[in-house]
Amino acid sequence: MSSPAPAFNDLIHAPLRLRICGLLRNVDELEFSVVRDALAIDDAKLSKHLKVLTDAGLVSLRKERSSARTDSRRLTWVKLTPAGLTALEAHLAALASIADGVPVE
Amino acid sequence: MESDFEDHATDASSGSQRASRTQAQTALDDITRDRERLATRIITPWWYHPALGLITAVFAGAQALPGVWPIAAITLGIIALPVLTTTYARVSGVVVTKPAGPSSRRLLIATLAVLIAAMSCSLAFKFLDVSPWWALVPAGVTFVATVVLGRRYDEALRQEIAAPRITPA
Repeated sequence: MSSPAPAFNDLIHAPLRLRICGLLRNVDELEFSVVRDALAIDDAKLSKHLKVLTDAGLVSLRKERSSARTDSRRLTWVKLTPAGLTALEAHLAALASIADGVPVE
Repeated sequence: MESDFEDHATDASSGSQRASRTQAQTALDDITRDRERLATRIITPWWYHPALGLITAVFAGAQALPGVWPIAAITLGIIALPVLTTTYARVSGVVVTKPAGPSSRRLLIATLAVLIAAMSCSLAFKFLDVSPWWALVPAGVTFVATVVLGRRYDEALRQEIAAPRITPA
């Protein structure tokens, strides 16, 4: 993947949202519980941040029936959209520049 | 676990201020730790590669079979492949369909090269009119290559997902 121009993204930069996007960066999709467990947060907090990211078009959700569940709940798969991946790469490049002492617009 | 206060406080500040050098480095370190934790989950169950090996062996050996058997065997393989990958995705909660770096890319290309060579070999057996039993040779080679290279691919994938590739402009 080519390095994008650094661009600080305020919406992604909130710690949990950045960590959610960071987890999704090199995979196609993650199941909701995998993200929740990896970040050690509760369902409600993850749902809140996923809603912000999906409303901004950075993340998409896909529901799937699960035979492993006895109730009517479904598996929820989370993935970065192409716009989300571009914004994340630019934001990570911005963070790397800042960490190296290079000013970012 | 982060508190709501911490979360809201950072949300509020992030809109008006850029991160300091320390904050930027801390954010990148957090991502690295999360990726390392995620990589430990990408461990395929013991049955995955043998099952995948059987499917690729069918693809490799089917060409040498007579009549409609090649089409039937390849159709079966095409149906079995998504069933296997979907089952694995549901078990692990992780879907990774492409290589994450140069090592995993090389191993995927090597596996595909073995499969193409085996299929060509199998097709050659058919045109040379030798016994279909000879197709067991490329099929067997494909099975072993898929299991061995597949496990190495997973290992490379785990390392590449865990290792950060964030470069400043």
